[in-house]
Amino acid sequence: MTLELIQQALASGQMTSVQVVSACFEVIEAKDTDINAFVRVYKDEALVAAAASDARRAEGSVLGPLDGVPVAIKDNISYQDHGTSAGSAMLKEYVAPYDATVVAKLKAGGAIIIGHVNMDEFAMGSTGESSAFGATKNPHDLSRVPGGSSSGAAAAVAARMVPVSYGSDTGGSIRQPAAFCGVVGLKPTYGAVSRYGLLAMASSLDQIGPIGATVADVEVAYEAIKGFDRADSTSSVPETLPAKTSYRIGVPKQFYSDGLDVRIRDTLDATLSKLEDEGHTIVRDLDIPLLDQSVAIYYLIVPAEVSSNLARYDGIRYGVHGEGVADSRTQGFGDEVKRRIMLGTFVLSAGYSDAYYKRAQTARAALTEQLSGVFQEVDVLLSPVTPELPFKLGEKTNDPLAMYLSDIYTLPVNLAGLPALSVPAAWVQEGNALLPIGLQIIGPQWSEPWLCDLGKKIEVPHA
Amino acid sequence: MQVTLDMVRHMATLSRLELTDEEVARFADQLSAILSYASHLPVVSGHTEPHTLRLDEDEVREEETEGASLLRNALALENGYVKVPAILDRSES
Repeated sequence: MTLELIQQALASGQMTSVQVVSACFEVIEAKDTDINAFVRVYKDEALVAAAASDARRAEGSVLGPLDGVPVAIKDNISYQDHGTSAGSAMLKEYVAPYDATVVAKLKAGGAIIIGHVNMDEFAMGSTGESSAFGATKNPHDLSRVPGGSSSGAAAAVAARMVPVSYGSDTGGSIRQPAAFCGVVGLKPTYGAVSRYGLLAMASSLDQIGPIGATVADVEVAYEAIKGFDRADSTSSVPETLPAKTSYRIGVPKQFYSDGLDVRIRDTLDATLSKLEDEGHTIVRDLDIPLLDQSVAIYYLIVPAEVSSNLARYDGIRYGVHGEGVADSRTQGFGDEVKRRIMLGTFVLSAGYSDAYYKRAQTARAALTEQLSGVFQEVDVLLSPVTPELPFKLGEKTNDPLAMYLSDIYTLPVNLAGLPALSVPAAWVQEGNALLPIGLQIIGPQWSEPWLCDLGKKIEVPHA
Repeated sequence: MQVTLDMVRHMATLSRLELTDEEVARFADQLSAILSYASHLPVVSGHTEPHTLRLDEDEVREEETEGASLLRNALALENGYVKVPAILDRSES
């Protein structure tokens, strides 16, 4: 059931929250042995919270649009008195001492948190395979990856285990799994959603956002968590852009690269033609030269922030308690995390930081300027989310650079602090499986309403 | 950019990580590939300043989480403090 249908069923009295939550657990119990979307489920307390929601509704004191609605949260979002592990062996025994602001908002609105969903370790990865809790599988084809790092968040919605989940996106970690699983994912404007209580990966890029079955569901789920928060020093006061009925839609020529799967390119072209027929203006062949450098910029800046942020895991105050700091870290971290920590240590080290880190930060500022310039000419950009369809499990585990290169369409958005929406726009048969093709709408800061408006025009939800 | 085995060992030391010889060799190859790719990043000319995060002022905020709750994940506590292994040898003082 979609969030919209659940809200209607609850409002009309056709279903209780207890029934809705129970139905989610029935699907989880039937399917999650195969898919592995959840790392922890909170069934008993979720049913108690659902009963309390039903009682509120009977009294006419509903707390908000998500009251009684089941939601799942990514394993890097702190939930007080619950395990919060960021998909890492380092934090397998860790219990969160406080609620993330996002969780506090969800609870205050009456949402029912039914579990923590799986993810690549510390949100580093594009396949879900680096989780210490085992890989999540793509619900549309169990031999394929669901994408990552919000692997469980996307797979759980796609498998209809939960109507809405919350992930985090540092370089595509909401949008790419949403595209691979055929659901909708929103990466909000940097600063739009509080990062307080989100286990940090790269603080200048991390952002929490929702995943749902439809654009309308994602809009409602986003409303519930956004807003300024003084507990997050990079939180921003939202701005409102004027509403639009027709859009100028740009397509950067850099996005038509050789590596782009022809089926994705055809979907992009067909969607542009459809939007043009509906009266929108299409601006083709936009030139944004630094887009081609996004992977290089990103994979210099992110490891630098990772090596600083993850220095806190010393095995003393929390995490794996080994024989000293190095032993704790060696036991607790997986390969991809170690790789990024060392890469970050290198690019920040004396003699190399100007050549790598500072050069990347300057290029990042220049890319942000180029994108700002483009948004003087067009309202939004339309692009692929990934260069290829969901690939097989194990296909890229030994070649990190190949995995990084597949992030080319999603990284620029985080580097420039922009919002972007990933929407399933077509489905193609591949062997026995029907696989989704996602497209991404990118806009200037605070353009989330534009992205959702356009997203509704192009989305093709799974039948 | 060729990352040598010794460079990987040095980065591992700085990063507080212990690597096996097999891991050192594998990371050397992978980090070389990533840094070689990143080395092609052009130097941006003109007046662009590097991206930095600017905060207008420090803000002091009351911590709302209880102290005991913050200490719940530590291995050992004594008198409300986190207990850690000794790193200084008393006999030397």
